[in-house]
Amino acid sequence: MPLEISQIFAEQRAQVYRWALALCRRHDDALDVVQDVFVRALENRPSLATIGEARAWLRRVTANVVIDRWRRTRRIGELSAADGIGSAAPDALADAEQGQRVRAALAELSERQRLVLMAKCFDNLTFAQIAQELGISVSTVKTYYLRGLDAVRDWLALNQTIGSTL
Amino acid sequence: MNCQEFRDRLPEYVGNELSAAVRADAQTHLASCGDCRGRARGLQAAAATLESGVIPEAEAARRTEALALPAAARAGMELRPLSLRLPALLRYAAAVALAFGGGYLLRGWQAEPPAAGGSAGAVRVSVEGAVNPRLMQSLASAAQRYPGSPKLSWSLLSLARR
Repeated sequence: MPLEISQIFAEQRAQVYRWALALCRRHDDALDVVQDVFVRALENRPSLATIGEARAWLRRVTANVVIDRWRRTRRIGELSAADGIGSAAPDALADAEQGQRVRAALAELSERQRLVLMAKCFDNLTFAQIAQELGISVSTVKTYYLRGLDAVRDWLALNQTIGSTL
Repeated sequence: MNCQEFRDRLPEYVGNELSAAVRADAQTHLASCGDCRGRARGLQAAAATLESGVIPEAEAARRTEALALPAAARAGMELRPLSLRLPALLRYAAAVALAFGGGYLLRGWQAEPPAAGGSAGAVRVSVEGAVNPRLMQSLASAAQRYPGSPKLSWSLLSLARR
């Protein structure tokens, strides 16, 4: 019997928010992402039998929603007023810049690399747990992990400031 | 531990999955190998950047406790009848099949001449066996507009029989 969306929402909305915040670095954006993720769940009605399946599905959709939103609005090197420019809080600008870097770096990865990094870095899952969730071997998970981190490291090094262009 | 052995354990080292003893061996190797040390630190810095935006689950739960399911989407999905949720193509296909089915049914019927005094062009049909009269009336109307082959007509006729 598939889980009800309302049950998944009640049990996993905080987790979706954690992922969204780690990717967006802004509370309001993270809340918008949570809404978008569950709108997709209501529209698509995925057949999810366990909370584990639901988490895997939600993690994938959260990443896709964040990347889609970022690709629609991105300007390399530009930040909108909503991102903190002109704000009296320098931390807000730093968070916004870091969020842009993280999203841009993750957008360059394959979906599997992105999901492995999210599961490892955001949820602190073991390689064995990630392998079971994704249905792949542990060695493959480790390969995705290293290649994903290599790509993130290279992208961050190449774009150390928001003003850099690729 | 040599460089190859360290590279074999690099994912576990960066991902904090090594036992204390193996981790100690790895750190001993890194103390004397600049290449492995540089690679490991680069990967750890990338991981730290990703991890820096993560908040505890309890804090995330506090910030989202007032959040509700998207009301507009939920209402739309609950109130819309099933027929309106079907893709338009499926609805069209179902309508065409039903219309052809009516024609298929009537191919097996005999048209009786109109009764004396009846209007010209009126068609009366009779068929053996008990059938759903309302369904037959609808199918007869559709069949006059959309004639079809006999096979499907008998399938629909069996559905209409009580």
